[in-house]
Formats: sequence, structure tokens, C-alpha cells
Amino acid sequence: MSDVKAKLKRFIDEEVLYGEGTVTDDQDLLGGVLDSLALLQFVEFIETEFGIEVADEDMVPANFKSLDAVDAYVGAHVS
Amino acid sequence: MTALSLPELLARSARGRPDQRAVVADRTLTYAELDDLAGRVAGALASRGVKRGDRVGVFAPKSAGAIAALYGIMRAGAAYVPIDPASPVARAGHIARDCGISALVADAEHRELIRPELPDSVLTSLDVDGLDSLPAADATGEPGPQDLAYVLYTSGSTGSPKGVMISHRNALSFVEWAAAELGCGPDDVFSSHAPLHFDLSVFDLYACALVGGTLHPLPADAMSFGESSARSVAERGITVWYSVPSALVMWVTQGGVEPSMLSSLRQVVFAGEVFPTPYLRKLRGLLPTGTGLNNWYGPTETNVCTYHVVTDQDLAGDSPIPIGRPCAGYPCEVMAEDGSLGEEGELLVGGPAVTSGYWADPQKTAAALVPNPRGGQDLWYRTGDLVVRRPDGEYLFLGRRDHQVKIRGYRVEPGEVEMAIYSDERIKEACVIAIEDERLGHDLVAFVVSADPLTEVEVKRTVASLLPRYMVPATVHVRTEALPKTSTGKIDRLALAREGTDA
Repeated sequence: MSDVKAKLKRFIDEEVLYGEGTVTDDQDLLGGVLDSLALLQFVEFIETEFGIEVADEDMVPANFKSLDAVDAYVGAHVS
Repeated sequence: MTALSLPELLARSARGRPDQRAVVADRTLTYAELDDLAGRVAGALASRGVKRGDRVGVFAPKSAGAIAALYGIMRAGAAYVPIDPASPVARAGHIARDCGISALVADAEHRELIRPELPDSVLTSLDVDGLDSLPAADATGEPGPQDLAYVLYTSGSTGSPKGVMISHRNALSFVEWAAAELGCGPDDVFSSHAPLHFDLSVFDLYACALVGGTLHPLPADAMSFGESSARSVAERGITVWYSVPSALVMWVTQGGVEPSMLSSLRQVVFAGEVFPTPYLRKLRGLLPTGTGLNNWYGPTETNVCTYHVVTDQDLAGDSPIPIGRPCAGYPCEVMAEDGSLGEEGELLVGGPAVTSGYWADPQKTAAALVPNPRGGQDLWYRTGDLVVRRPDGEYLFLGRRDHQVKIRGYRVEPGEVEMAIYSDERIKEACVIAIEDERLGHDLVAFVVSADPLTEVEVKRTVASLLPRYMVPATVHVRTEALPKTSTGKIDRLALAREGTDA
């Protein structure tokens, strides 16, 4: 697992599921894991942790539908 | 003629427009089908011992069956008690016991979850996905206008939620005003975004039934992104949208939303929180020219009591949008701290929509309901909201008299979160502060004192096991030294607020 993906996974496991569950790489994050509140916290985490800005036009389901998708998005934006 | 109860709205539309689509959700029901299903629920509950005045819990997502169940419960003369399906089971059980439900309507998953928590008062339970198999039943007699229609639980400052009691007359006063104000008719397609335990759902459900329109409960995953919810509007041809501002802010702060997706919208209504004016200006630009933009205000205890139609002038500057003027039939007054009536102070609301109080809690009821300040016999509700009345008669919201905050439109009492934190006996002191956040409205920050090595996640997990997710602090500071105190020995919330903002 990439370093980025491990950090993303740890955030969701700890800050969203409070250590009472775990997400898999291709699990659908939008069908029950991330509600709109958790999603915004997740985006704040990504921006702080990886020093990138998630642009308005990137706030679309395709970029957040799974850990794999977020990993790819972050990977493409970290300089 | 004015209806006497909420289920009468359904019965009338079922007679007048039996083949019109009433609900489009996990399945589509016409008014005749929804009415038939509601009748089955009412018949089953009555035959199993549920009586007029009883409370019936509903612990399930908002589906076509759940909506039929609400009508069936009310038709049996009982009040429905919607419980957040995402709620921790301890809280769900507390609510069920607090109001002594005599029956439960749930899906299989939620029924299993809550079973160990149910009070002895429960006589029967119905499977929300199996209502069709109940025997068809004739009308069981409509409830009266003074009977309770529902009990909604909202955050309580002393550690447990309180049940707001709303009668049919209370709810109808609001619903009839709302449908008329927006000019709703049978061609309207209502999006239904709020969950059943959130009072915004009262408008969607019953204004729609009143006019014989079509209701579209939106699935949760349609609400995560602006693009998803805007697509839902386009696909379903939504004409009337009612939600908290945050759901609309996503349309202007996220990608993928085109004006063409929103072209069916005739009326857009928001309530529950302040809508930042710059975002509202952007929203105006996305919507069709003639679409009405409405700011509604009101606590669960009164439903909506003031309203404001957003004008171009409102959007020209960055001043906050007023919460507006009283709805027809809702007398309002502003009370200063010394009890005198005037222009600035706490908003008091009277009229037929005002709750009769909190379930089995005369103390909280007495604190919230006060004698009519104009001298009548009726009781008025103290909102706890501080307002100022402008010369043109419109109210501006200034803030709260207490520590209550809104998160995603939900009322949150920091005191209830503190009580949840204290359930961990290793914690000596806890204080929860709400810090304003541009995107989230408010963030909860907890300051916790413990001699034991406690992690932030442990504290969050404790809270999440007792309270809904929106009440879990975003940040927890665990420390060993005592929290700062004021000269009177109370925890210095201002000092902590500064600390929370700087962090």
C-alpha cells in the first residue's frame, strides 16, 4: 500500500469509523462511510496532510468514491 | 375546508387523485396505494392494542414504507416518534424508553439493533418492508386536531435529548401556511432531503400531501456532493427544494453543477442555519431567473415562524439575510433581558403552531413556555434566539442566549456532548466549545482532563457510542492539568474558545 493511501485509510478508520471498522481499497465510500460532514473533514485532512488544495471543480463523486480514487487524486496533485 | 389531521391530507388526495404518484423512493406508490398501505398499518396497530394517544417508534431510513407507516400510526390515533437510523443504539433506546413507545416500526436490521433496549411497554413491532402483507383495513377513525402527531427528540443541555410534542393542529398551521406561501399545486415535485427525525421533513411530507404533489426522498449518497444532488434535481424534475443551507452551498462551492441541471426548480427554501450571503449570490446565478429563494426560520417547537423572500437588494452587499417577518398567524415579540418588549432581545413566538411542551418533562416545558406577553391566556415559546427588529419589521438573527449551536441544521447543546464524554470515568473535566468554521458552520472542540493516558480517538469513540455523528467533536485536546477557570470558579469557556481558534 502506498504511503498516501495508508494515511488516507488511517484517517477514515480512526476519524470516521472511530476504530470500530476498517475500509478496503475499493470499498464504496459514498454509500454510507462518508456522509457530507465527514467528507468535508476528510478534505480538510487531505489539504493539511499533503499540502495540496482540493479545487472546487475537483469536489465531485468520481474523486472520492473509493480509497483507490482518492489515492490517485492525491498522487496526481502532490508536487 | 381546513383539515383536522395530517392523515386527512393523505385521505383527501387519495380520493381526489388516486392515480397520482405520491412517493417515488425505493418503490413508487400512488396516492391510492399509499393510503391503502397506511390503512393496513393503522389496522394492524389498532388490532394489536395500540390506542389513541400512544407513541410508536419508527427506526428505519426514509423509504416509501416508512412514510406509509407514519400515516398509519397517526391514523391509529398515535404519535410517531422518528429515531435517527444512524443513531447509536443507546440513544435510540433512551428515546424509546423515555416516551414509552407501545409499538415499533423498523426494518430487520434496526429492529435487531434496538431489541435489547426496548421498554416493556412495546406490544408489537411491524416490519417496514413487509407492510403489504398486513390485512387491508378500513379507516380506524381519524385523530383529533389536539392529538399528538409526532414527538421529535432534539439535543438537551442537561445530557439527554428532549421530546418536542407536536399536535396535528400545530403541524397543520405550518403546513397550510407553507403550501400557500410557495403557491404549491399538484404538479409540484418535492425533494425530500431531511431525515424523518429532522423537523424539515414535516414540510416535504405534508405540504406535498396537502396539494397532491409527488414526493422524492433523496438517497443519502445523492447528498454527499453538489453534483450528485443537482443531478437528482434534473433526473426527477424537482420543482420545490427545501434543505439546510449546507446542502445548497455545495452547488456553488463544488464542481460539476450546471445551471441546466437546476432548470426545473420553481421554489428553493433553506432553513436551520445562516446562509452566507456571498454563496447565496452565487446560487442566485445558478438558478433560473424566476425561481423563488426563501429563507425560513423556526425551531422544532414552532415549526417555521418567520420567513423572508430573498431579493436582489439582499444580494447586492454582504450583509446577512434577515430571517424575515412573522408568518401569518404567528404573533412574535422581542423581549429584552429585563422582560420588557422592544426591538432587540430574545424572540418569543405564539399562535397555533406552538408546541404544548416536552414529553414527560414539566420542568423544561415550564422554562420554555411562558405566558403570552401581550396578556392572552395562551403560552408562547421562548426561542433562545437573539434578534433585532429592523424598522421595516423584519427580524435579523444575532445569535443565541445560551451555548446551543447548529451543525448541519441540527441543534447541538455542548452540554449534552460534555455529559457523553463524562461517561468515561477516567475523565475528570470536560468542556466542549463550538468554533465557527466557514464550511462546516461550527466545529466542536473538546477539552478533556484525565490523569490516564487517553487518546483523542478513544474520546471520540466514547461520544460516538452515545450520540449522533454530528455531535462528535472534530478535535479533542487531552491534557493532565486542570482547565482554566473564571473568577467565579466556572470553566473559562472564552479562554478555551481562544485556544481552540488558535490551534
